[in-house]
Amino acid sequence: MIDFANTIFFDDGQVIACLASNPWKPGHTIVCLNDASVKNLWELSLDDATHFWKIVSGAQKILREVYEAFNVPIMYWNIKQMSVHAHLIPLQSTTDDNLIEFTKEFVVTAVAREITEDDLIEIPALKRGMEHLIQGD
Amino acid sequence: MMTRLPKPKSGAIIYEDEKLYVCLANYPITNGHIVVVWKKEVADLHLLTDRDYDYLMDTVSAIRNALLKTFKIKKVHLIYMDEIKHVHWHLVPRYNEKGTDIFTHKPKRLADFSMAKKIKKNLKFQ
Repeated sequence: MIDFANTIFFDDGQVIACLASNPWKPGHTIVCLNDASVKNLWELSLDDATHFWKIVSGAQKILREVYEAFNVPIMYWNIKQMSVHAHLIPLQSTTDDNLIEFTKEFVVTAVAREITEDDLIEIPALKRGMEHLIQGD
Repeated sequence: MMTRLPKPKSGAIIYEDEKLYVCLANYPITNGHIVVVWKKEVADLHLLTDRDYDYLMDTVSAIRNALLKTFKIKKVHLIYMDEIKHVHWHLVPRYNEKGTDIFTHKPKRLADFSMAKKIKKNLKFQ
């Protein structure tokens, strides 16, 4: 069982970026708001929403570099009544640029698994990347 | 670089200005599937300036609100597929379906353009 704290690679008190506890692909990341009372992105002030999306965009950039990903889709499902969060999933290739075929590759056919110690190997690189990104902001 | 984004059909445009356009998807997976496209060929979100990024996300937010109102739904999926290296968001209305079931839908060629006018009518920027 992996300690949640060990999966976090960015936390500014307002927004957290961590590896998913049940990843579809290596590097599957969750960027979430550190306020469970907010259930919907659109309950946020414009400034807070902007901040959230900037961390999402930053994490996407770092994931692309660290995992040498071909692309890193961002998904804000807004499915469950959970705190505001987006999924970022590094992909090494895509078979089709058609939305549905592309999505099947990992949403429909992907099987989630438990996160393991091996998944944590890139946490230091992700932390460094986010630190550099924020400092350069 | 030539964009691989398909051209929007005539009558599918919901909003357009010098920076971006919003249109009905040519091959929607649900009724009201929208694409918000950054006009300039920028390969990724982080390459946008802060100002442009804010502008894009403010537009996404306004469109999402218009979809909620137009289709009387509670949820809209925001999907940045990053599939063709040209900044654009998919906004996919979620009707009475579980989880990610919408991705089992087969995309159909857009036929009903009347939605564009209805969504436009409900579009309000902050």
